[in-house]
Amino acid sequence: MQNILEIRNLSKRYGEKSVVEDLSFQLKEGEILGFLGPNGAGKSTTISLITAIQEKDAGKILLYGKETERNMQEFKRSLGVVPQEIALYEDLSAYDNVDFFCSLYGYKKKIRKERVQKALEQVGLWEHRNETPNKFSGGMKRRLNIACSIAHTPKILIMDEPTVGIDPQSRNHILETIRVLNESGTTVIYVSHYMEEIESLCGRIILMDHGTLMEDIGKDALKDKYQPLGLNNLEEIFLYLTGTELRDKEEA
Amino acid sequence: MNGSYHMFTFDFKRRIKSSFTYGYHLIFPVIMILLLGLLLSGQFGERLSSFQYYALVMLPFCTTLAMITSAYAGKDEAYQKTAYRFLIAPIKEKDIVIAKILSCTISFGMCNILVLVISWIIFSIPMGSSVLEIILLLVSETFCVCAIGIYIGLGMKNFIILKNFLNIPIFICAIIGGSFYPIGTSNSVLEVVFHLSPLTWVNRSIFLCIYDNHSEILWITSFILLAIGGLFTFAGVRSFQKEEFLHGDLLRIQK
Repeated sequence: MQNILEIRNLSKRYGEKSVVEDLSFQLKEGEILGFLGPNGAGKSTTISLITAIQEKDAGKILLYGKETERNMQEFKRSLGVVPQEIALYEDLSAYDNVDFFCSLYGYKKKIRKERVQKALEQVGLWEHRNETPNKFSGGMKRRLNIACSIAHTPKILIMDEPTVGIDPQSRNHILETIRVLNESGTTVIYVSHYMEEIESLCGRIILMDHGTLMEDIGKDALKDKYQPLGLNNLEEIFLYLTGTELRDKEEA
Repeated sequence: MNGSYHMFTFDFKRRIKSSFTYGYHLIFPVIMILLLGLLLSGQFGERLSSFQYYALVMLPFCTTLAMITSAYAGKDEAYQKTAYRFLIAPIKEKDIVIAKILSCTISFGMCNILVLVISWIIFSIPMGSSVLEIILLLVSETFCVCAIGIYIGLGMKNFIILKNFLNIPIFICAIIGGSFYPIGTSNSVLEVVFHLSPLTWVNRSIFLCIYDNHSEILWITSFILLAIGGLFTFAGVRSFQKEEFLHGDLLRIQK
């Protein structure tokens, strides 16, 4: 598999504090990459740097080997981001929300019509297309949040904790949607605190803490590596590598 | 069609549907014209009725209030928590600023023109062929205040603080500009103070154009307003901060 995205020596500082330090990793085309780290590890900042929401201090981001800065608009077309926070217009119908955000990618109405329908069907909200999100449950809002990010059919989908605070049925549906998207060719970066989700979805795992890369390894290889230490699952490995100390301060 | 065009049309529809637009630019000016016109009827001589006076001075004043409504429009995405999606979409930052200024200018400008035409018909304002020049002036003023409002709105996080901050200078300008009662003085210092208010230039331009057939000052004022609007548009594009666009606090909107 070729690299669809490559991060080289990415760094970001807030004053004296280094939040991302010399981070490098590759994203292989067609994979689901699990992105793990405790609060304040630098995951969200890394995503902000990749999506150019924040400016990096150093490093390069390459899409198919080409620097994204040289053609940022083209890179943004290839990218879909499901933000952690629900980003929807509460007074617009589900259909209009997806349609409008898809229109920002420059698609004509005829093409959008098909894509919006497909996106809403994928998240199981087509029957609710005419309803406004303010009448939706938390799970439905999360699914609509995803539909708004996939309607323009991105090559890379970054999902920042898309299953926070929802019921098991919606969560299961979202995980299934991710698998279907991945099978149809979408490469996924999946950020989550839920270890079992990462375990069931991702083939490779990146573990970050204090802005630096701690592990970049296949899921099975990671387990094999730490099994001799008596660590039998991802959660144990995660706590072993990042410590058991609370991270409230970093989160704040 | 590119994303910028969609953003403009979407924002325009939001402005047209917004209660802020109706409240500040249709209902408020009509109420003020009727109220002040009624309270001060018979106090403007034979050549000019109180309704005609207030129709002509209330419109520029209410246009100035577009600074507040457009500042709110600048924060709309932050309050709705959708700003993130605009920043990750293939839209240039300048297109976000320009789309917002244009959508505000057109929607508020349409309201102004509607109130002007209604006042013209109901109160028989002798505008004649000057109507197009008055519309030009009002549109120029709308563009100017919208550009300033968007510039300020995109740069501040809290709309309530922003609104309170803008209200004071707007009302001072309105008072010394003659929006509530005709202002005149022989004191040269006070005359200079009065001319610090853009509403003084706008109101005098309108009256000179309609009642003295003297439109030169109106054209100059329109040009100055367009130039100031252009400067603030440029400043808004140059100073656009993603962080400010993303975040905003408004207690009234809770998701």
